[in-house]
Amino acid sequence: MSLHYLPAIVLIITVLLSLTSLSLKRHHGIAYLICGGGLLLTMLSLFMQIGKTGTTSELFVFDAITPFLSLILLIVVSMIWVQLYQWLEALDERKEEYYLLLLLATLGSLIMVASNHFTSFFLGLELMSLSFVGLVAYSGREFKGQEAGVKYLILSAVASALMLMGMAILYLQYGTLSFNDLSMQGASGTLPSWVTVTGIIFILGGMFFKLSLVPCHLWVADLFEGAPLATSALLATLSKLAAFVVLWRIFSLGEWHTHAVIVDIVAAVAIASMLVGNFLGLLQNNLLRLLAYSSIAHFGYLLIILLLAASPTTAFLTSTFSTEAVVFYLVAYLFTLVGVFSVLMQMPQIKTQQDLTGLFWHKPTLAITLALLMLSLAGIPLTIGFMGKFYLVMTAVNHQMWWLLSALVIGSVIGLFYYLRVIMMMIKAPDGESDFSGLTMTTNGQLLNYLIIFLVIGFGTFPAAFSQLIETLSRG
Amino acid sequence: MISIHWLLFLSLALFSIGVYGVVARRNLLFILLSLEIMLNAVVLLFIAGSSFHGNPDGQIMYLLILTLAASEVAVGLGLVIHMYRQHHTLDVDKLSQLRG
Amino acid sequence: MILLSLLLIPLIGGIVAWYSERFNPDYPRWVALASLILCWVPVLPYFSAFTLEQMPQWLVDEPMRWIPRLNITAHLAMDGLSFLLVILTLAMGLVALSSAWTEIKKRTGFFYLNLLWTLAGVMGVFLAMDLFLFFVFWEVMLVPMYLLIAIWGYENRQYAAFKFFMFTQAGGLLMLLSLAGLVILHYQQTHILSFDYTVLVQNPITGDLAYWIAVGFTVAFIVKLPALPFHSWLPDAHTQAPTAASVILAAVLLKTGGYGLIRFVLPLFPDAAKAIAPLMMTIAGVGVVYGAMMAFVQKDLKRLIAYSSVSHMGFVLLGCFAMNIYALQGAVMQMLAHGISTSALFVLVGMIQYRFKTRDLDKLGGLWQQVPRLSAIGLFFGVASLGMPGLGNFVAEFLVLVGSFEKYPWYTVVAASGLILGAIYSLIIIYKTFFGPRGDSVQTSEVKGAAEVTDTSNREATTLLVMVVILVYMGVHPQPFMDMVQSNLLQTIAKGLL
Repeated sequence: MSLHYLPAIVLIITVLLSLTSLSLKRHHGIAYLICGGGLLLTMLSLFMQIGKTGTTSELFVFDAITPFLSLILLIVVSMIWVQLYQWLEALDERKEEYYLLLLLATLGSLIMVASNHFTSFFLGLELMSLSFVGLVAYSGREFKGQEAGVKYLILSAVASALMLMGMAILYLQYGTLSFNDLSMQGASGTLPSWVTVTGIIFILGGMFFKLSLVPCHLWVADLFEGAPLATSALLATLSKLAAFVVLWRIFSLGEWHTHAVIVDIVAAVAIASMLVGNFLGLLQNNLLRLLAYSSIAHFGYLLIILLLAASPTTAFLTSTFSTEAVVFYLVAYLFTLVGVFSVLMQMPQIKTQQDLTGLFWHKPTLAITLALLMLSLAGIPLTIGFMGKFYLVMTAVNHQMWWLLSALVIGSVIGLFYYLRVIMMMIKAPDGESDFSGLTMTTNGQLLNYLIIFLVIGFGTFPAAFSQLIETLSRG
Repeated sequence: MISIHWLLFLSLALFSIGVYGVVARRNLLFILLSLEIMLNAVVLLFIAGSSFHGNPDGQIMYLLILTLAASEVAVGLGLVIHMYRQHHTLDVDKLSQLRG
Repeated sequence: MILLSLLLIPLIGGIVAWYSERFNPDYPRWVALASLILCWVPVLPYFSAFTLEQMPQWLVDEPMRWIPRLNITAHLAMDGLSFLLVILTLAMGLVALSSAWTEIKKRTGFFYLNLLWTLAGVMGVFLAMDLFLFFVFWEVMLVPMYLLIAIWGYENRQYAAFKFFMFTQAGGLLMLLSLAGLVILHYQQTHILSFDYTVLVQNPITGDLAYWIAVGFTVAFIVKLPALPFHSWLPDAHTQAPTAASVILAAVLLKTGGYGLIRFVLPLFPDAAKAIAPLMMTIAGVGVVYGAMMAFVQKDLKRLIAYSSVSHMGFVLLGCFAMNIYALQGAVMQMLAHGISTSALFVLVGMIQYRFKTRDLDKLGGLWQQVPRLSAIGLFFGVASLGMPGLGNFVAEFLVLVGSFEKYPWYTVVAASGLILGAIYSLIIIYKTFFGPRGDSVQTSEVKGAAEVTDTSNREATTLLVMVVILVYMGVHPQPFMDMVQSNLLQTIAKGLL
């Protein structure tokens, strides 16, 4: 048993500990602290692994990137955790189980990120999805939450079933479930190659559900709106990151880009997601629905990365550059998104864009933070979101994917409309109707806002150290 | 021995029946049942693959999927009961509060 | 550190200005004034460059490390062209400050923050010699400008600000793609990865892709200029912007487009520039005439001046693509002269609006009797705008026409006819506002009591008179300005002729 399993073990112990304390005595503060302590220890154990030599086992892979991505995941979860106490206090429900489910979902996503085998991937996925059902339907008395819970249950089950079907077909074809053996193209195939393609399409279908890409995107807005805010934040970050990392790994290990049909499908989905996501975002008034559609578009941009291997390259820089682009983009997007959610969690009564009218003149820190985050989502320079987009554009131009790039440009321009509208609302002169007296700023929240500004602007303006770190990780 | 193709087609057919059930049925209970059919189709294919290739991976997947099916139904039924208590209906079309 | 401090002073000054509002709403403008004056300190020594026999390639050159992973540097440098435009920016910053002095009463701190940050961004654009850095400044300066229009503008400000942002941002995204393409193509052809202008300019890229990359850059720049198909944001933005923002917009923001063409498109893509020149000359010629014709049907004084800008900037485009040293010098002169004359007109309109609460041409008229000093200065700048010999605008337009006649006689004829139309709309401004029968608004304000309407204050008069002096100086003795840019422009031309 090597050091690499330590984070997962720490998390499992935390889960057990919080379960025990829950059965002995219910106390919100204790549950909060146990959860936080566990997350902190997990982060420490992950931090120790960064830069160490990795190993690959049958079920898991621990290369240089995996602990880094896991650490990013944990940071995101912790940023949500910081605000959780206050947010749950306002919720009229039992509170302690939320932490339990949160930890389990985190564990599931950690397993997914490190998985190297369909079995471990499947277990991680289900651990995460089933915990998410609980998290989504957490406030049982709310009809909306319940509806979202039912929808998520059915959709995640369908997605899992699709992916399982794909796995079964690939298993039938190759007789193995390991990601490493996926690339044995055709050599040992027992069935014609269309069977492989069918299997891949099944897996992609399930993944598109998880990543809420067009045409499997219809659920995501309902879910974001209906689920409790913290859950939406987790869904948007944790579940999508884990799913994308796995998709990326399978896609490159399995060399799926060699199937022309698959490349066409992914390209079509990417273009459709960029355009449809941004376009539907235009029509939204609810902030959470807006974020949902923006996340569709952003994962559409990310899909470009999957297709890189299919296009000619000019051997620009090093072969790891596309890896760096993925990591940079993911990190940038996740930090931005979790920032948006934590700002929204600080003002629970604000639901629509109209509610934001004049926020800037009442709560400047909150408004500036939100405005910077919107600029980061839109990809305006000096924000971390821009650096991510720049990396993406550099790689895509390097591979001369003009179609996808033109969709990216059009999508970004459409996207600007609604990101800018949010900012516009905030700087409008207050009309007297908007009442922000209910907004109390806590030191906790204030500090978090400064941290977010630091992350978004600091890394956006001086990305040198960060890009260097990612480069070293991608090399090793 | 039956050709592996037939098993694939049988499994795909079962899977399609399950998908149809999820899409067409309005009752939450039946949707859960259809999901089970989908999972069983997958399980069938895993077992077939396992026996075809003569390695046990597929059978292990079978056990895992069985566990998943059980836990999914457990969570699902919990939601079903909750929904029935509050609304006295299991029709998913009634779940239409969230519109964008 | 000289150029860096030039950028940092307004940035820091802006934050101080914002903070100082807590103590007194009057403090921010003094802070803004102080930091703008402080900005002159780093550039003052370089005025001696006017007397140099031979201009060096760079007056100042400050490369700094930034993102080593992609070999992106924070390379700031200043040559004659940058120097002239930075001076213009700083001078017009003072003019904008003067026009905002009493006009802006609400949220002063945040206003001056945005004003100073816009200026810093524009100076960054003029000084950045790394393409990535240039792009960053190019995009970032939009944000404070957007806020200036959207918060302190007139009735329809949100729409106008939005349109302004969207147009330039869309152009910017195109530039981002072209930028990536340029660097990668350059890497392919030379195996040097660099975003640095000085490196890229040594080996201009070739091939079909280079053509499209050049088109991408050009489109981004002519959106800002603005040239014909992409001009529609300008009238809206100008009409709705507060006077200070209009001044900045007309005086320096539009010049970033022309600067980009001269600095980047011509030397980096000599072949492609030659290929698209006929198209650009057409756009420019049509733009000159179209802008002038649109100008004289406008009822709104600000809109009229905005369309006249479209017409004048057409000359800049014409000069850029004529591939001739006279035309290029003319384009630079036009950028300077237009910057001064048009922003002076906007200041005047701001004063008129402040006094008579309207900028509708039909409601104005007969201002001379009430505000003679203001009207006299207005007459001067109206005449300047039509290209009266002896003023900077005449020199500029004449040079452009002379330069482009050699290769493109017909475009020149069309553009020259735009000058006649220019005379018409300039005279319309002069006639309808300062002379003629008194308009409704003028009369009502008189009824309310003549004491309310005062002539130009000393601050306003000084600002405008300084601008008059500069414009006259440029008209009668333009040689120093041309010498400043001559060596660099000659190099550009030489590249194009090879």
